[in-house]
Order: sequence, then C-alpha cells, then structure tokens
Amino acid sequence: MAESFEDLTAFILKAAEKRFDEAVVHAVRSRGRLIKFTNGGLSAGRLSMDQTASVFVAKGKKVAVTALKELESRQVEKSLAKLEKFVAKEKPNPEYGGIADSGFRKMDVMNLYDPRVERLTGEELSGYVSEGVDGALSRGAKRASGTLETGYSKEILRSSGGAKCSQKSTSLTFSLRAFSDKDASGHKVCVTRALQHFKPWDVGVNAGDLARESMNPRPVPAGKMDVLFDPMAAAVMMQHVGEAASIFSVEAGFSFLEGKLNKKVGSDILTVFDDGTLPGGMASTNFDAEGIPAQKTTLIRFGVLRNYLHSTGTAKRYGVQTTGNAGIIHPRPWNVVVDRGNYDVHELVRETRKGVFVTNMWYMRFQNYRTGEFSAIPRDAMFYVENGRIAHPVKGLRLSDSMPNLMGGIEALSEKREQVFGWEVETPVKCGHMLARGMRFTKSTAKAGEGAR
Amino acid sequence: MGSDLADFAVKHALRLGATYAEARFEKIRASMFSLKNGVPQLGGFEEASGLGLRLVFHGAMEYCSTDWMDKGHVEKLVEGGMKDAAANARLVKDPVLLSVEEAEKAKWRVKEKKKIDSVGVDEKLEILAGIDSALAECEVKLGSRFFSLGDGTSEKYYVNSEGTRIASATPGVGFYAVFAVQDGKGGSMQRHVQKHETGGYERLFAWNLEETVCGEAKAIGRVLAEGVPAPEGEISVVCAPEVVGIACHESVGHPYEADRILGREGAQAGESFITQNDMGLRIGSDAATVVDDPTIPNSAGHYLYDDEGVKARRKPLMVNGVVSEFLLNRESAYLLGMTSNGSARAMDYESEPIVRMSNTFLLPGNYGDDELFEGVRKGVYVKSFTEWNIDDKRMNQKYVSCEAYLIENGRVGKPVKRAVIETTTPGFWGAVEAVGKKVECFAGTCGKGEPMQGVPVSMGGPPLRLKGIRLGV
Repeated sequence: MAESFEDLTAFILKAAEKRFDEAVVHAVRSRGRLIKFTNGGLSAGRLSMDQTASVFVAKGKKVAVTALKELESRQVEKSLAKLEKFVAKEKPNPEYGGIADSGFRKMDVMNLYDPRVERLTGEELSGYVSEGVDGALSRGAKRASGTLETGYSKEILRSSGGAKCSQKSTSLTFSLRAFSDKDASGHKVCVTRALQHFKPWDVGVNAGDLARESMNPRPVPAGKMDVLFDPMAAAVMMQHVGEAASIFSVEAGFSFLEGKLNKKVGSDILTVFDDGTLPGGMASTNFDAEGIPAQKTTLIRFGVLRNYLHSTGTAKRYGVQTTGNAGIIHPRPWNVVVDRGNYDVHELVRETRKGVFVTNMWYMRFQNYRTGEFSAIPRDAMFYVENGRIAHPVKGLRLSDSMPNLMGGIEALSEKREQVFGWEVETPVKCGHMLARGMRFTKSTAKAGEGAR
Repeated sequence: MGSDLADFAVKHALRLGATYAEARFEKIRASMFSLKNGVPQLGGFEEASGLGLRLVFHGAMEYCSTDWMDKGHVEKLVEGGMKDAAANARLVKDPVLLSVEEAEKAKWRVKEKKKIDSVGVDEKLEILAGIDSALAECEVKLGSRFFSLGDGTSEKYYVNSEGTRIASATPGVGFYAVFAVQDGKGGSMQRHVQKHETGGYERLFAWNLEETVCGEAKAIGRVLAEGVPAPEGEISVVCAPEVVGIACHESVGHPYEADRILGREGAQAGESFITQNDMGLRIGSDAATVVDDPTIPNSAGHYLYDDEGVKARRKPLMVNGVVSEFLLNRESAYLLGMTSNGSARAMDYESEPIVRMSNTFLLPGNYGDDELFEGVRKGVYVKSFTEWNIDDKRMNQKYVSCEAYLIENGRVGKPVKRAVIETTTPGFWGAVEAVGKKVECFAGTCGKGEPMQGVPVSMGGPPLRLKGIRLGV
C-alpha cells in the first residue's frame, strides 16, 4: 500500500505501465469552499474534499481514459484490469501520435499558490461577503447577491514518457450582482490566486455604481451600432477564440478559425495570446496533461491567425511543435489574453460615436460554430452613447452578429485590463474595454404591450 | 458501506448540534465514446462514488461532499461543514426552515431491457461507425462531423434526519451529434442532435439513429440548396415539437422555478419576470397548458422521489394560459407557505439539491397535423432550431430555425433559410391559437446553480400554431 500522495501516483503509473504501452497519471487532491448569498443574506455554504487520479493509457493506437476515486492498491489494480479489457475491445485511432517523451522542464509560474488563501477561516470568508455587500449598498444598490469561492489543490503528474511534475494552487473568486430596481443591476467579479489582489469592497462598489446608474432604462431602436464592451462582456465572447484555436475544435467543426492560419481574422489592433504562464491566471499551470511546460502562445498577431493549440500528438500530425496545451482528452486553451491598447475608458466612450456601452453579456449561443454566427443578450447595466457621451441607460437589445465581424470590427482597446472567469466565462480571459464598430443588434418583434411587465 | 456512511453522517451531524441533516450516497458508473470525422477518439469510463451531506446549523444551510469513502474522512467532512456553517451564521438573515413533508421509505429503479453492461465496447463503437457510414452515403456534401455515445447508471441512497430513506438506481443512455452540411459555394449549416433517455440500450436502438441523422442532414442540405428568405409582415407560424419544447423549457419552466422567483439564483442563473404574487396571472392563450412531469417512464428527466426524498408528481405550471403552480423544493415551499412538489434535483453527490425541471411539455390539443396548416394563407413551419437564448428573467427570447418551410394557402412548400422568432414570453404564449394532438419530447441538459449543475431534462409537446407573428432579422 502506497503511503504519500507522490508514492500513490507513482504506484498507479507503475501498475499501468505493466499493462499498457503508454500511461499518464494525473492525481489531484482538492478542497473547496463556497458561500452563496442572496439579497445580502446567506443562501448556503459549501465544502468539498476530493481526490481523483485521471489515468490516460495507450496500447498501440488504442487510447482510453478513466478517473480513479478509490486509490487503495487493490482497487487500483481492479480498475486498471477493467481498463485493459476496455482498451482491448476498442478500435485504433490512426491519428494518435503518442505522448511526450522529452521536453520536460521544471517551471514555477508566478502566483499559483498563496498559503494565506489556503488558510482562510470561515469567519474571514463570511467577512469578505459582508464587505462586498456593504460596498454595493454604499453606492445606492438596494440588494446584492453572489458567490465567494475559494479552492486549494495539490496535483502530481507522472508519465511513462518520463514526466514528473507537481504543483500546489489556490484560488479566490468573488462574484457580486447588485440591484437597485427591477431593471437596474450591475455585475462585477474579482478572480485571483493570491490574497493581496483580492478586493471584495471594490467589487461591491463597482457593481453598486452600475446598478444605480442603470436605473430607468429607455428603449432604443435595433440596428447596427458601435459597441463599447466592458471586460465582463468582452470576455464572454473572446473566450471562444481560445476554444476555436484548439486543433480539436478545428478538426471537429467547432471552430470559426478553421482554414484561417496565417490569414486575417481580426482588425490590425487585435493581438490575442493563450498564456498558461500568466501570473495569477485562473487556468495557469506549470505543466499540461502530458507534463510539458505550459507556455505563452500567440494566437492572433495584428489581426492575423498565427497558431493553433497542440499537444505532442496533434503537433506531430501537423509538423509543428507542441504548444503545451495537452488536455486529458484534447488540446485546450489555458488563459485567453487580449493584448492591451492605449486608451482609458473615458476616451473609449468619446470614441463611440453612436452606440451602446455593454457592461455584461449572457447566454451566448452559436448558430454555426464554423461561421461564428451567434447571438447573446446584454445583461445588467447598458448605456446608450451618443456623440461620445453616455446619454441614458437602455434595455431590451440582443447582439446578433458573428465572431469574424466582431474581431474585424475592433477599433480600440483600453490599456487597463482585468481577469474575468465564472459562470459565463469558463476559459479565463484577461482583457480590457473593447470598442467594436458596426455590430448588429436586434430586439423582440412582439407588439407593444406584450411583455411590458 | 456507502449507505452506512450516509447514515453515520446524518447521525454525526445531529450529535454535533445540527437541527436538520440529510445525506446522499451515490455510485456512478459511466462510459463514453466518440468519433470525429470517422476516426475513433478517446474512449473512457468512470466508476465513482461519493457522499453529499446537507445540514442546518445555527440557521445556516451547508452542503458538503467528499469522494473519500471512509469513516475518518466523512467525520472530518461533517465537522468541517459544521464549522463553516457556524462561521456563516453571521450572514443569516432568516434561519433556514423547510416545509413539513411525509417521511418516505422507498426503493425504486429504472428497468433495462437491454442492460448497459451487456453491450460491449466494440458494439458501442460499431453503433457510431454505422451512423458515420450511413451519413457518408446519404448524398449530401458533408463538412466536419462529431458523434458521441454515452451510458451510465447512478445508484443513490438518500437518508434524512426526519426518517426518510430512499434507494434508487437510474441507468441511462445518450447520444450527441454535430455535423455540418455544405452547399459547395462556401455556405454551410450545422445541426446538433441530442438524445437521452433513462433505461437500457433498448432505448437507444429505438431512436433509429442512422435514419434520424441522415434525415436531418438531407433536410438541411435542402434548406441550403433551395431555401428562400422568410416572409415579412404578420404571419402564422407553426412550430414543431422541438421548438415548442425549447419554449416550454425556457419561458415556462425556468420562470416558474420558485428559487428564481425568491431571488436565490439572482447572481448568475437569474431571477424571474413572475413574482410570488402572480398565481392566477394570465401569460398565454387558453390553448396553452404546460406541465412538468418527472414520473414519465424512461424520460430523460425521470425520477420517482426527488433529491430531498419528496415523492414526485406532475406539476401543471401554466393551465389554459394562466400561472397555476411553481416548481418547489422544501426551502422555497416553506418560504411561500406551501409544501414541496418534489422538484429538488442535484447533478451528483458533489451538488446541492436545487429547484429543477424534469420533463416540461405542452399538453395536447384537438388539432390534427393537417388542421394546423389549413387556413394559413401565409406562414412558416419551423421544424427545428439552432441558435437560441432568453434573458435571465425569461422574458425576451429568440429561436433561429434550422429546418423551416413556407406555408402558402394551407400547404407546406419551399424550405426557408433562417426564420427568426424573436419575441417575449406573453408574445409567444399569447399567440397560441391551435395545438396538435401528438406529443414528442427532446432531450437537453439544463444548466443552473453555483457551481453550475447540468441535469438531464426533456422538453416538447405537440406542434402548435402561433398567429400574428412578425419574424425577426
């Protein structure tokens, strides 16, 4: 019976190597806590304590994966025996290119782990919630709801290719939505891995300001308009650049970047990276799912698509180098980083001739992943901008356009950027305010009076 | 062993001072296979078990979970949960109380005629390969295609401090496809097909997947090649069950969830345009009656007792266009002075039970299929949809057609490209003037909660006719 977590992982790998040609074991022990609050009061707390060992195996070109929860040695042997039978009945994947057997390097990405986050007490966490709610109420919000979530994990990865990696990480996420009226709300998040960057009061204040400023919205006609996106809204859309850049998405028909390598896909000022080494990035990591160091990869440079995201196996098929993006199943993005511009938000409002300032986005759905046509609903505060000035709050519009049009229409970006991650943004995005020209908005065609409540 | 740990967790929480405790031990066995452009991808299986515990201490609700299945860790979990609940108690405005419900003792399981374990890995891959071959031969210009097939069984043991004990086993099978059809001139359309039912492989074999996928591909190939623009002005729109289903789910099911109405999901999943005082409010026409019913055998959202141990039943949400009942769990029922109607569901042992839909559908009317089209001088028949969304209060919604046809003088004619229904909830349900007879439901995965929980649901109804609709752009 293995004793330490490291020994346990090594034991699983050794047992897997006896049965398969290649194996990767990625073991994670984690602890998570969450406080969900509604209208300033507690809805529920949550505590989780988990351990999992994900096991990837290959025999020839047959590949499979399983997740082990019971790590006692006899159970591990039993599960691996079952996996062996499973693989024997599979069909080979002629595209499978093997796992990495070199290129391993010890990394130390900044701000992955903060012991102070791991040690936060329940009293401190509930105190942060109160601080955020008080911040929102201090700016005129009538109520505030949201979540505070903190996590700690220890990961060990061992592979038959020779990878030996480990890391500890922490995370702290605060999401607060402030309401000042039935159609007036503001939403802000703070996502960090280190306590020093955690500002719950600021989250409450900023959401509260938006809630107050968005009271008494008025309708505006649908049509083509300039749009200034807050980072919260921009991130909802820009996360899809990362997913679309995975070679798996390209091959499976999930990508609006298919066939666009070295072609223009955005405006001249658009530069986007995938960065697994982003200090404090919520998906930053020292290693990918085969133990290769994570890296910063240029996806789009000055509007031109430069790279897709690869693992060792997919890179071999395309005659390129891995980008350190192996996931347990297929290449995946880490953190999508939109390069900074040189404007501040006030200048961007002045640059918006006639359009809307969208502070949050909700329910983005694609009509066709390959063409990138989508619609999404601006949520929370939205303002009409006329002649470079905010005129009044608006509601009832839907952004109905496409990713190519959005990326091609980006004309200005702010210098200051934020990291956004959460319910609507599953791939973390670091970006600033984004001004795009000529985006198409639609609205309900129901007759006046229908749905007026 | 797992049920013993669940019993122990409840007792230990009570011993430490919890005023309420419930535990759910769950054992999950699942496998998944996929095929991308005809090439088998990574296959996999999972055998996981874990324990979820919910307790109330000092008026604070705490949900705790672990997959370390030994007494020492469960003990630590209970004690950690109690400690966090005590710390969170300072945030409590109103102590959590639950509606009073009957203590239940029951065992139930979904039967499998063709047991999941009796279908081999090779057979499952053959199913996917067969669909791929059939699609390749169905005379449309294909783009990329991706198919996946999954199956699994969830065995649960639920116990609470009020004497309820429920044991259940729910096997299920599912299929997902996304494929593109091209017109050869640079245009393409993409179609997603999702299937899920509880039961064994007999359910999957009944779907006739090769025929279904090929039929879908040919239909959108025709839309691409021959599709005309959607008509302008006020027209009649006949919606097929797939479109009726998404409207039932998004603009009837969700806004009738009591936790949304009370603001508990306000931070992310959203609130509701309906308030707690809106019982009896008219939303739709007399022809529109929508129910949520978890008791339908083999449905995607099937269960007989919910994840709070409350017996499941049909819930008439909107009856003849009028708000009739909310979806309730025990917490929201208490706050509204009601009893639960068995709508609490959790995605798995790691997730707290919250108010969820199950199978949400429109009840049948009296119109035959032909009668729905008769008398329509100009209209559109929307058979399936692609892009859709709705605002977080469930008022403004959009459904873009995938397969649609013109209706001219009562007859279904040429395919239509991109018919857009962009309307409000009363705008849609108030326009229902005729409802067909045959109910058909479609599977989906419904997302809600923090952290996000995706649960299997179904949605549907008979076809219906909307009058006076102005299509969007």
